[in-house]
Amino acid sequence: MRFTMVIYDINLLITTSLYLGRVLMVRSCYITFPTTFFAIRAESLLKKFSYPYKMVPVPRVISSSCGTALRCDCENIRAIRDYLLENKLKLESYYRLEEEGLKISGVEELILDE
Amino acid sequence: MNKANDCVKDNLNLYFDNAATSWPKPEKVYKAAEIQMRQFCGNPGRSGHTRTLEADRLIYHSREALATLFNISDPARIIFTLNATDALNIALKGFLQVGDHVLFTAMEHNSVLRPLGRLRQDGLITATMIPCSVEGFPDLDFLERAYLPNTRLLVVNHASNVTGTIAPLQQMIASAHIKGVAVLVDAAQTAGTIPIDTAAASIDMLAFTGHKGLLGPTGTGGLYVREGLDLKPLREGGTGSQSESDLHPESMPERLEAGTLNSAGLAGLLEGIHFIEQQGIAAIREHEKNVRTLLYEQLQEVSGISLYGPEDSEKTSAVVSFSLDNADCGEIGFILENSYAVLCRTGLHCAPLAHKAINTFPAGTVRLSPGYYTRREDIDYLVKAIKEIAGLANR
Repeated sequence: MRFTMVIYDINLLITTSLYLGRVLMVRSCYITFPTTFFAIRAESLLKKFSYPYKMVPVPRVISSSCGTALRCDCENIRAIRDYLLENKLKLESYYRLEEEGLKISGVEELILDE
Repeated sequence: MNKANDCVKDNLNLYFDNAATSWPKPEKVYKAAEIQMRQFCGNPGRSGHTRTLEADRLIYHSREALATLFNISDPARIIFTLNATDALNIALKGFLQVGDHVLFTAMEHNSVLRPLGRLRQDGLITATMIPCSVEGFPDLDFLERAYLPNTRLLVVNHASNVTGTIAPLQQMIASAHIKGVAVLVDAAQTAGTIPIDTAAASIDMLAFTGHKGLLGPTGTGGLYVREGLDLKPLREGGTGSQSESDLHPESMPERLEAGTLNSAGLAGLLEGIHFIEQQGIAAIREHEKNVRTLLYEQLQEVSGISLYGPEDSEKTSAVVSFSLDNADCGEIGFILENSYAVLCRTGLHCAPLAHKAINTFPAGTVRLSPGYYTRREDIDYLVKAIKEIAGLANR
């Protein structure tokens, strides 16, 4: 029987997979940007913010103008989005991805209300 | 002799060509450019790995540092260019449209005159020169009468590279804005040494270089374009964004930046800006004013000398242009280097109209441009050398 464990904290993913030696599933959310300038500006602004995030190459299943995306826990995406918009950042789209090992098993574009 | 330091003699800094490019640079400028190439050499905006992100961050921080220095609220309105010439070309050729009329001052550098010359020769625009006084100040009465219904742009050299003369920016911008004319400021000679408040001065476009007052490496520079002005890009190509589209992105700064940026140069530039922040631009300006005043005053004692530009260093950047009776300026420069290890620039300084305005065309002048690292003893030595050369010329 296949062992599947769902990890929401993206920072735990790699260490836990290595420790267990198994394919783990992770659900994480992505914010994409129109250009690199806004991606790096977002990173710079979020240093003052408490939620964990990571700047990552955009997975190919997502369509994005800029090659760098922001990955975060799905429960924080709305707060992060609001903070970035308050700071007049241009954002492109929002996604939730289910990743199993190197495979992406689910993609959902999120519509976040104002 | 160490060629790299052949203007350092008896512990004196005899480099008097800071208006061409500043030297020395702060130590961190050299180191940052090297570290960028050795350790963080990723292509900014492209691959998405950590080195790319490091390069992205560096470029972002450089933009932000410039925005703070020039009081620009949105760093995305600053694009990086090769130098001030590149920035001026992007501004002029991207802003001007067929049938436009342009005003420019006689103190403009060839980096403005030649792009305008090309656009005029191709029959795309017309242009009028605002004459300048022998001290290099633009004739403001002439400016008032020079606007035409199709005038769209006024180009002003913030400080002349020949005389150092600082243009009355506030008055000129106010005059242009009343007529609905945009203003492009060439800050090649002033960025980093004379405070520029882009917001307070309502500057529409600001072109600057990184390797003079900003103390960065050559191959760096930039252009600020205020919100609402959408320039047509001169270059289009890779940006790392919207790769599926066969059209270049429209949002700034990518709109006017194509191809891999000079990240090693920008790493150096960022350290140059940090140095200016640490020293304080007011302190830099004060020091340069003092050495320029000292130089001007001591040169007044040289027999047979003609000095150009305003006497008051408050009205100039750190530049003094001179000529000697009975001496070719090229010869003076040659002797200064070969007998005294002094480096300076002679001739027309890529600004023929400025030399016409100050009556030194076509002979040119000898230009001395001290910098933040110039000290009193360097000036004393330099003036002694010029006195000896003047003695030879008048023998």
